[in-house]
Amino acid sequence: MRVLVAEDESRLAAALERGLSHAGFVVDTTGDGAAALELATERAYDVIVLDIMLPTLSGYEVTRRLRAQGIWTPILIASAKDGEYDQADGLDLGADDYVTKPFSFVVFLAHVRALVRRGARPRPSVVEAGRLRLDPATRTLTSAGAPIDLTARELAMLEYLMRNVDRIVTKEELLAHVWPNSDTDVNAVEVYAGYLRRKLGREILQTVRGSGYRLHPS
Amino acid sequence: MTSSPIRWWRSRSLRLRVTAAATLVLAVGLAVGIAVLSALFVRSRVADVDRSIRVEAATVTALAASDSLPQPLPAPASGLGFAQVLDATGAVVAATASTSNVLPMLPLSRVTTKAGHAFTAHSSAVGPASLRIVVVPATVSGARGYVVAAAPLTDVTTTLNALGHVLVIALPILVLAAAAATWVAIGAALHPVDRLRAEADAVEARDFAGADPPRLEVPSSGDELRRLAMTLNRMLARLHGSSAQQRSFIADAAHELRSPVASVRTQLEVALEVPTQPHEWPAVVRSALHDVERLGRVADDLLLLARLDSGAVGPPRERIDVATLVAPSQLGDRAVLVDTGPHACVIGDAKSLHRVIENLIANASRYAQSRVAVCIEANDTHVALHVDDDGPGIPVADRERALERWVRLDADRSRDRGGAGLGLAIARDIARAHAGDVVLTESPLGGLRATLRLPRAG
Repeated sequence: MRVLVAEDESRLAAALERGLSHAGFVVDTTGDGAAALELATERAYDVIVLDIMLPTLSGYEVTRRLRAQGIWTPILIASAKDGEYDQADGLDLGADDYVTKPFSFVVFLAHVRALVRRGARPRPSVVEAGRLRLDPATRTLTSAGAPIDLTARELAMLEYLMRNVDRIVTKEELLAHVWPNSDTDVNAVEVYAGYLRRKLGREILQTVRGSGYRLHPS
Repeated sequence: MTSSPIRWWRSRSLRLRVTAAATLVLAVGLAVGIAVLSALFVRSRVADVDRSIRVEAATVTALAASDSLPQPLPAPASGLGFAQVLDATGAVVAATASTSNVLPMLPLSRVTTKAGHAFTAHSSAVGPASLRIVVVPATVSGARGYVVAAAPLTDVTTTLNALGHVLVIALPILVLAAAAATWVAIGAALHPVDRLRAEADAVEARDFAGADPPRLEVPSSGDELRRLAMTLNRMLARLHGSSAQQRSFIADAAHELRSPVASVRTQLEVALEVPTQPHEWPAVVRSALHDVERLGRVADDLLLLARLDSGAVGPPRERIDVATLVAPSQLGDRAVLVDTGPHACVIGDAKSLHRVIENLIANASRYAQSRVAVCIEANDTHVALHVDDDGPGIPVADRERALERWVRLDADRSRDRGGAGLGLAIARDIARAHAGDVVLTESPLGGLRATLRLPRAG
């Protein structure tokens, strides 16, 4: 397993390299944001450990650019910044985990191992399907770039449909994932399907008789 | 004890006090007004009556003088009034029809003392009403006599009685109504104040944590309350700004304190976790020591800033020759003292000023390619100490920001070489505590010139 450690405090970076190597990882270190981005783009890492306050490119920016390039290597942000928004921003930009310095090395190693298990499958923080683009962090939806106003329930239902765009989604499934009460009538799903069609166009939802819906974003 | 009613009064609500004061002023004003009006009315009525009885008296006197007194005497022109002619003994000689021609209106003693005057009195010869009476000496049948003319003041008394009723019945009602109206109006006027107060009360510390400052609702009326609300909102915005600054300072301080702690902790944990040979331990300890030293420096800087903020910068204010602040031993390996200039003194704390120069030289050394130069200039009022380097310099737009706390413009440099971003901020704070300043300009060497400017002390 290969780990990239981007950390500008050289002594901390050296200690992390030594500890990770001892735990069986192959470790590359860099103290620079741009260099980290280049390394992560060129080599296949299993986990990237990123500091936020890096020279040339911040950890946030490295995360954003990697995800924009479709590189889904799990990212662990390790920062002394512990503000609520610092952590939320990092995760919303596409990082997978956040540890606050100072951390216990044992716990840090466990975080790295957990991320290795997760693997590099695509986990976009912004869901895209056809012309639709939904950002769950800001609760905004755009269709071909134009913003569209949806209620919270409509957004939640659309997000579920967009995340399962390649298959038929049953009404019962939508009820279970989007509605708070399991005893809500299935008709509610039909009503909301009607709302989505009205706001996004009739052809957006294809009804599959007897089974459910399939999202059809042109 | 005399102050206790005053204290009691001051502790009443504004609404009660204003209502009471307004009501009192209104009641006194109305009472005084009515009193003055009545007095004026009485004076004017009495003057009218006096005029008519004097005319009557003059007419009768003329008749007496010509010895042609009719019986009865002619009634006064107004129809209301009486006249009698008395001889020297006070006996009635002639009288108008409306009065007795036997009983004199006044006894002789009063007639002689009041002769020539008009006055108010009662007379049993006429009835119970108040009378205005004038006594005029006259010649009656060639002998000394008097003409007494009088008229009743009935209408004056009636009017005064009516006014009295107004005072007793209408005035309290009017005053009570005014008091009630004032109470209601002041209540309505103070209601927005109460709402503002409740809103301001509801502002809590955590409201300053958001992106927008807390705001009070501004009343739509264009009066003092609107201006008060707007002023309060501006104050809240300033508080929000300083609170945001405070929070970001604390966040930065936390970051700068945690980073070395994190580094030491991980180094030590890893050294314990990974088999470490005895000969490797000194290297581990030395490396950890670096971070502990850095932690110490950040902690010192923070404490110094806190002391500067509280205004407690070095109490010993001594006279210092600026040249002694930059003895060659303090210049580090790369700095050169180019010119000490004239011997100029400043008043201040030598330790703090040393710190300023240390920080300026440390900053210059960090960026210099090969040279750091220090020189001193002085004019009559100020001493300037320049620290020049031949590094990349700082763009004009960023210079002011470079002097702020935690600002490290050298994002391209790693943490190990760049400082925590407090050095220049501390230097400026100390300089300002000495009535001076630190400014950044271009250096003749091509890089940055940091100048410590202080007022000269002779």
